[in-house]
Amino acid sequence: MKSLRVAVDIGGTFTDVVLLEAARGEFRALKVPTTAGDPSIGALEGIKAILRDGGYEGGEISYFCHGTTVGTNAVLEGKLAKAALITTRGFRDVLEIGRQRRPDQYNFFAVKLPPPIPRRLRYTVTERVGSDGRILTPLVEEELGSVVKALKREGVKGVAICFLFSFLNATHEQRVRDLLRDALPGVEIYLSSEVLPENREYERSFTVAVSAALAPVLTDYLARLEKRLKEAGGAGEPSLMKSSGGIMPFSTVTRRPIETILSGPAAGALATAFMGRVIGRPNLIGLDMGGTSCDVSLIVGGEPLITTEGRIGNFPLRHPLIDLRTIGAGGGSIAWLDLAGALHVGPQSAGAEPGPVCYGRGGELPTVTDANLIAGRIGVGSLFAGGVTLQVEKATAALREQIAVPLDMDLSRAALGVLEIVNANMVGAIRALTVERGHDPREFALMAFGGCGPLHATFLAEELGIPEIIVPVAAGVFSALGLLAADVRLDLSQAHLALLDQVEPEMVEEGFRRLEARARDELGDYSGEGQILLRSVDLRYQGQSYEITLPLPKEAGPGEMAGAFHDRHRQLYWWSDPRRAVELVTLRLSVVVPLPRPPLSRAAEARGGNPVRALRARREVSFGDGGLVATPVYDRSLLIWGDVLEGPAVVESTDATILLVPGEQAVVDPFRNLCITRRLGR
Amino acid sequence: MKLDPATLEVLRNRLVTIAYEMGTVLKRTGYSPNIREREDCSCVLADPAGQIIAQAEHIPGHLGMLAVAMPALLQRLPPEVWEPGDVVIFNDPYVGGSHLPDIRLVVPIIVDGRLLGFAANLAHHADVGGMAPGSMPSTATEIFQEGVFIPFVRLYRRGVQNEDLLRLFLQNVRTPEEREGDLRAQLAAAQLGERRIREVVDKLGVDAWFAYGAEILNSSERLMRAKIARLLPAGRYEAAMRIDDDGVDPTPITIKAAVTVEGDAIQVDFTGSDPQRRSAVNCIWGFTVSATYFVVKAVVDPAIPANSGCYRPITVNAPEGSVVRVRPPGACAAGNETWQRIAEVLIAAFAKADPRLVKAPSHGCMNNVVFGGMDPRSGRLYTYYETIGGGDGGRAGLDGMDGVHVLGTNTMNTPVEVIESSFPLRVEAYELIPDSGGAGAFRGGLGIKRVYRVLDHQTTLVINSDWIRWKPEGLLGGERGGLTRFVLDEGTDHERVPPFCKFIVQLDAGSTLSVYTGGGNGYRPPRDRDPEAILQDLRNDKISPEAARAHYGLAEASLGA
Repeated sequence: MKSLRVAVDIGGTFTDVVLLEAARGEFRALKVPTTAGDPSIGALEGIKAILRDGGYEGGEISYFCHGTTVGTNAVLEGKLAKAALITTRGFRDVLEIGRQRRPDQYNFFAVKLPPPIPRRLRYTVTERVGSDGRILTPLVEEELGSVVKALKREGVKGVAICFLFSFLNATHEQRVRDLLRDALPGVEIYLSSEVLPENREYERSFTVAVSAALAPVLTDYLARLEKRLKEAGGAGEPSLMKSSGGIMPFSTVTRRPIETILSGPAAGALATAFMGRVIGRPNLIGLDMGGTSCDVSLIVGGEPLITTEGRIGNFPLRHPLIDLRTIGAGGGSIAWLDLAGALHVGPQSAGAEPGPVCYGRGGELPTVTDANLIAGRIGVGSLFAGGVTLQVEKATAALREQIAVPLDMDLSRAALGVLEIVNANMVGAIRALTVERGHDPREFALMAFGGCGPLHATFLAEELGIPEIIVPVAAGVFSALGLLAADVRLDLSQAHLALLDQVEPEMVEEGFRRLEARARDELGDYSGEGQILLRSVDLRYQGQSYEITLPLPKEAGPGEMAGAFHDRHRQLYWWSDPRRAVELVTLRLSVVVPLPRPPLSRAAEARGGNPVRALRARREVSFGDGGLVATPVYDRSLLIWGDVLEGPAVVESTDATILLVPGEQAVVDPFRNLCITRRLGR
Repeated sequence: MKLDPATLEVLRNRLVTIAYEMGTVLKRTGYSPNIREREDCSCVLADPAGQIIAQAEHIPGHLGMLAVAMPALLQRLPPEVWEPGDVVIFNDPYVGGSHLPDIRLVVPIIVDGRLLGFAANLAHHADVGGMAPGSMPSTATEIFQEGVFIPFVRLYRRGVQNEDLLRLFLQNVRTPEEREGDLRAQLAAAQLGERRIREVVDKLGVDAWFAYGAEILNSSERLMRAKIARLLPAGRYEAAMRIDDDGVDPTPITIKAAVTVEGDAIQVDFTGSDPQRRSAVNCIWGFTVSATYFVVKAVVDPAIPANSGCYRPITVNAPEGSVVRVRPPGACAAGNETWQRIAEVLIAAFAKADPRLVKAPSHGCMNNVVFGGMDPRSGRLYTYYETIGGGDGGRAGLDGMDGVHVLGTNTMNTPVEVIESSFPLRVEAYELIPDSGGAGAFRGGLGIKRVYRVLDHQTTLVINSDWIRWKPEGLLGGERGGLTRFVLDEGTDHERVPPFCKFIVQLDAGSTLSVYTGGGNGYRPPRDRDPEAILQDLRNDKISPEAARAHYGLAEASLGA
């Protein structure tokens, strides 16, 4: 009986399935089309296929983890369950007004996404808590009678409660829950003072409202998926990836449904961090470039960067989540000229259908992939194309007629120009996470994956002075590997407003103790042995409104906290003022329960050296404006530990193409990652 | 020099990114609520002639304002006098500005003794002195009442701060610590822009920097011209609207505009607008130009990156000494409300060219609300300033948005929980107003009701708004939305409605202010509205059954459904 760890990452177009045989570290991956109507059907097909390929039985699955866009789509498309909001009298529309911003300031035809709970299902009751946490108007309990009647008549599936200043005093929210609970059996009730006990009523209202309206959707979906898993023979409790990169068991998803909304993209960052730890690279930039978009993540000291300022559409996400930059740069990004003849690339994409011109599936607009083909960086008979011969003539004609001729450029310069623009856009996304946050990219390695990442990485590294590129094993489905490397994680917060020089350490300690008690309660069986507690605080100069989150060592006093804050403020924003008063705003506790990490299979010894066994072909490749260079093309599946490749070189596999420019050297490591450096440094 | 299209696009995107990076520093580290919560600030990069080559404007009201100011600055301080480490500060509105609270900082970018351009920014400070807290006194009669008036002066010379100048400034404002913090943030942002441009020029070379910089402007101009020619029918389109009063004189003010589209160019002429007033209602020239740029950009191409090249096809003309081009020392603190009116007039003019390109008139106001006094809890002076959104206008295929900022402003609200924690005020209601959206096939958005109570102290209230008595018609047969309304001590025996839309009043502890912002107007006649949309509004209490009958002729039977 083998112990199998299986993960399924369901995206818009493809469902990625990965399997790891725990004992041997044997790793398998495949892609199947996503079944949009019920994604659990495609997931099951994928699981069955990967088991069949490896000759395994469903009963051997000991661990299952899932990344999904079900939450994302439900929120963006408004396909949420019927839920109600109960709020302070006079404030029925906080959830709908939001922050009064229109989504696009110049576009007269911009559309604001509708709130997760419509106006008719938002009820108000008389009560009021003041800004010091004292009760100004006691709750009028009698008013709830008619609310309960209305909720029953409407048949709501969830109820959210958000009162002003409940993060300072939750008595009224708790009392309303007690009064509703018996009257509405089977309906989940959410309190804003539990899901986000922080200042700012709109952000807290949205968090609690979307929790109530999303939970039933997720529960239904996960129940279907769990049933299918059982059909496949899987046992044990399946887990779901959260936006924070931690996992939660399916059964606890109803507690924090909002934390699943960015489940999908979190996996890529986690995979980057995981591989980084395996090979000893704690500081990494993750570059996941696919057909339509590119996700950039940052790993510092082995941990993905976390933010509490996430967004989905025009909605705020205030719980900790992995900080990613997503831009419309992919293989399918379209090159186009505006009315004045200026060249642009993306963000529109030809997607998978019709796809780039060279796929011959009806695409007529030249894309990044077409430019790569014309530059020779992708081959006509590339393994990547899956046996289809790419149509270089069609791609050439499209780029020539639509771009090169109108701009009076020669064809090869036009192709390179398109690639330079898309590369610069990705450089901008990396800068936003590094240079603009006080990190020097020269102190990081670039982990390049996704179908297109390894093809573009070298140019980004050159521009930013990044000394090393790592192309991980199974680059095309690498991100799903992150699902198998996740730990259980719980993030809790509590507003705690005080000037740092007047802070009472006992009160802070007491605040953290309360968070720890809540964590024990929520984690249940997972709590205990081996868990790691991480305390952090949000600080700002008194009078500012953006906070900086800083880790809080247990022994740190207010003086050290202030010192660390001034330093970080200077690093982030180029100025600090030690004379100014610093304010404590929020206490944060993260509890991480490490799960056993699967060993990745590694070669027994380094037998490689000369990669000639993997040589497939030679072709002319353009690396820049220096013309075409005869370049060897290798088959990645035949490379082994110890092989050393000198650039120029192209390494192909079925899921990605890797480019080495002249002067670069790649070494294959024991896990079959390619580690690329410049011989003379960058 | 032969220019490469790819390099051009890469540089264009990079410069916009730098401008936004500057903006991030400014809004994340600023102190004024206007900057930090409301993003009432802008950052630009300019060439040595003062032409803006990249701009990150967080609200449209700033569009093109620095483009007007920079050439004036260079006349006063010609390129050859700038030295590395200089920082110029000014808030003089007459040279291309808005009002005194908008302070600008300009830093030169000099490499090997050669001036490559400027990094500059503008931020709305919460108070710059003057007769009323917040420095937006809607009833001022000359600029000297409005606050500290700063011409082009150097705050730093060759890297050395002019301490005396700073002290003089701080002595004249109500919240000096906050001001100093805001200036620190502005300086950090401008210096960051300078540093980033040096990095860019290091790689690109000085000659290429100038060549590509010029081409960025030229290609924007070409794009703007091509879009104007393609989109807009040639012709002359006129419109006029009124402002209810100026806070001092109850007679309404008329603003008139004629838009002439000729080939690939647009001329906007405000001749016929009223003479300037002895009141802060006047709009400064740079502000009038900015309102014009906003409407043209929104109509022609909302996505085009803003720079001086985009503005070349647009000519603006207005009589000196008029309410849209005030002469010194005319007051102008409340000109931001006039900006909104100018924009609405221009939209009405473009509606005559093609109504599908625009929307019906919105609630049309910024609804400036300022409370200022001494916080009894801390014994310190405070200023609370906010603008309140309302209903936007209906448009082809879409209802107007409910409860949003419109036109020149797109700031975020200050959360109720932040207001009550920071100021001696309580918010007692914050909701949409049913039936305030103008009826139409696509109805106008709903206005907002907000009620404030003054806690334990005496305060000064400054209001600057409009359309409490009059508003224009809807578009293509749509109806009018609700009017703006301010009520003091509503529901008590001393309830009163101030007679002006701009006023300053002292309020005692326990007093309340109820603000009702206007609704947007409808687009096309109400009879064309989809019955399902009417029922949806009824279910959501966005319209009452009475309104459904009165405006949409909905029968009793269908109301019961």
